[in-house]
Amino acid sequence: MHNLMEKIGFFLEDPYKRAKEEKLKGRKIIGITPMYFPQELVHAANCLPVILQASKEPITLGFSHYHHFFCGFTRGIVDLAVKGKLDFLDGLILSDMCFEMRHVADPLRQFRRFPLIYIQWPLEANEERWLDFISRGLRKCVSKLEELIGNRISDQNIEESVRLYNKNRALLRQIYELRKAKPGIISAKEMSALVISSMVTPVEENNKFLSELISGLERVQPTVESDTRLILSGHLCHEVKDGILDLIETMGGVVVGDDLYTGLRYFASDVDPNTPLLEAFAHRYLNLTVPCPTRVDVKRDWAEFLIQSFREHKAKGIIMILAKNCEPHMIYYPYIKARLESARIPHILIQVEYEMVSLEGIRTRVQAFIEMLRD
Amino acid sequence: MGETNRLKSLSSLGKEVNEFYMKYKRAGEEKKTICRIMGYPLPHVILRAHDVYYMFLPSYAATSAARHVVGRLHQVAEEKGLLREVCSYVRANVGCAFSAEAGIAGADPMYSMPKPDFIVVTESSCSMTFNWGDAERRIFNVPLFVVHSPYVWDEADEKDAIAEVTRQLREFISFLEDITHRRFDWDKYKRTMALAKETAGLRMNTMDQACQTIPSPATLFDWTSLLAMINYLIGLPEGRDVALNVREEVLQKIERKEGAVVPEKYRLYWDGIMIWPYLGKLAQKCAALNANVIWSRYSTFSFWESPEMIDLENPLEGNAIQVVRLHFNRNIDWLIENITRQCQRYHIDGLLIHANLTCRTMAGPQLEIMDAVSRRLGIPAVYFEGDMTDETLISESQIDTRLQALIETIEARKRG
Repeated sequence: MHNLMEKIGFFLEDPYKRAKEEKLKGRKIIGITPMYFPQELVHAANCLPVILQASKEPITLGFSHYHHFFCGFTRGIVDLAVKGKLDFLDGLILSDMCFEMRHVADPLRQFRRFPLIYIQWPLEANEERWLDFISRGLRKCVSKLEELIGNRISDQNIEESVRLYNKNRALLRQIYELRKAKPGIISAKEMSALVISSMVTPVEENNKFLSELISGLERVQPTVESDTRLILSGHLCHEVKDGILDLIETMGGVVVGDDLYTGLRYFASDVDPNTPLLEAFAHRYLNLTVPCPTRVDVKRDWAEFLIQSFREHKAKGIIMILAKNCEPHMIYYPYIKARLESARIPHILIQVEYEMVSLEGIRTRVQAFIEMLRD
Repeated sequence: MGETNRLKSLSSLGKEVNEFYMKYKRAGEEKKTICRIMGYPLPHVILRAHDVYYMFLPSYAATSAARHVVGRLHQVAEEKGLLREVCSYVRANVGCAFSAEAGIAGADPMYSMPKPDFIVVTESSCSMTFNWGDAERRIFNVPLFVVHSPYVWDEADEKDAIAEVTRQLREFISFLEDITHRRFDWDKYKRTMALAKETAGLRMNTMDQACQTIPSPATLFDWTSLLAMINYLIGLPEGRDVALNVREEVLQKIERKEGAVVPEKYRLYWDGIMIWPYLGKLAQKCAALNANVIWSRYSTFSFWESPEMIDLENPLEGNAIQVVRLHFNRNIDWLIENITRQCQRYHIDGLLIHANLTCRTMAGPQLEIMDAVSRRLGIPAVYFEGDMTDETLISESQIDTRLQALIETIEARKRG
């Protein structure tokens, strides 16, 4: 799908290119840190919501403000911010998912380059007792956003934004299902690119593009032998580093499913348009379709989800991709490992570092894993 | 070359800690209700008032490290798949959970701890603690209760945060009643809180007085040892007795103008969790350079740091205040402001920043604190890396050279 990457691959160079173009047209740009703050609320404020993406440049100035033993994603945000490369933002919603993300605020508060709006999510999912906590947080956030833009955000606008973003997620789910049915019609990198595009471009144009893409994909036949169907799991908060997804597929793996943030995790569930608005966002958060290791979740089990996903996708193996120093993922991993072992599901863990020394080590391990699956 | 002259009244704590774990084990054997807690040492008094025995997991890890038995626990955790970048407190406790399976339970009394009836996470700052609690829940297959304090992003948020935590603590008491099939004794809780308030108040006042005094009669290494009193004995008469004894000794030393480092030439601020396996060694290293590490936000702005705000007619709110006002839960502006003020009050000459490689919550704001406080006060700062329990992450030579550099810089500045 070369045309696809030509059309949306701009973010490989600069994920904020479209945002900067919109800014020139006079639109306000509001950054959002991953993973669960609803883009809808920013869109309803007539601003462009932009979910922050992993930086691709070497961390330099950021080292003076953020420790090297934090995850690369948060270090990258701090580095770009102190270099002034996020100055196109009119504001940033700091969605507090974990303490590493929270501490991003420390240098940002000192530099005061753009206004910050803070929201904290309860660390427990699937428990109704947090409904009020979330609704209050969202209400406060909306009022801060209104202060920032100098306008009221109407319910009508929010309803329209929910409709557009639900549509966006539905389209992405459609593509995800098409990939499952016809492996190889879209690569793992392309799938991830579509999600990233939804995070950083205006939803209206993105929906149009996805609809056209689906018409094309429906006509395409499976392009690869699907004997090494794989599920990719993990890598929360940001895209998998350049090269790794391609590497998996060039080694002969065929990605048929995932629970990545730049994948199913982003678009798995919708906002219920029939529930009072802020409560509907809270419900979406509390009833995560894809279990999230950053949350305590007594009712939904990530390992169980993966096992089911493995079976449903008729996969042969699972590749778990862990962003170095992502503590929630690291802490969950031993349990998943044990569960997959007892379910006799082949799996491998790849740890991805921001300052990647070489892809060669990963290549060797992935190759050995895929060869083992073929035997 | 200076020498240490640390508080003698803390020596009884070792025995109390041993006894604490013995009681916990016995309670498990006798099928009494026992639980594992992580996060902030807040539910201790609630559990004590309800006759539930607890194991406070951060303290367990620190104690194991101080006794140099933590390495094997880390190894067991790594064998289970926990990576070395994970908080070393978590690794120690996961190692403990699997010590029987790993065949090491009998190797040291610290290794064999009974299975809990439930788990509690009370935290205001470290999201990882919730992930840890969830992991323990999966390991032991027991209920988990979480208390999650809102972060104080703006000072105006504090009041709402306290109300929220108070509400959650009420839910926690219902959870306790359900799990133990017993009614909660509010009168006993008030009495326990009264003791906790008195004990914590004694600790805070004693520390403050000692830190203001030149030479200081105590050192941070004493204050961090005293944390055992909070973690193991808070709400008990024994805890208050320790606090009273420490106060008495500190007052006597002030009267005699007797310092904890002899002679005390340099007064330092420490940022970071203590390096538990190196506590004694570090105290000696600093003293050898005539440096007294006076205080730290870790010991002063946490562990029941606002006892004066506890209203015994509203003890749950008093509990909530402690967790909300914890320094981890404070924004960077508050931290810089308050650390600067306190460093002035305690006549600090230099900042020693210990970046805990596996405690990112503690490490998070350190570089901003280091830069801002150092500039505001015109005092030097040095940074070194280490860990609270994992000895393989500690470089003694790095500590030596950085400490030496700090002292030389202070000296050079003093000479003008």
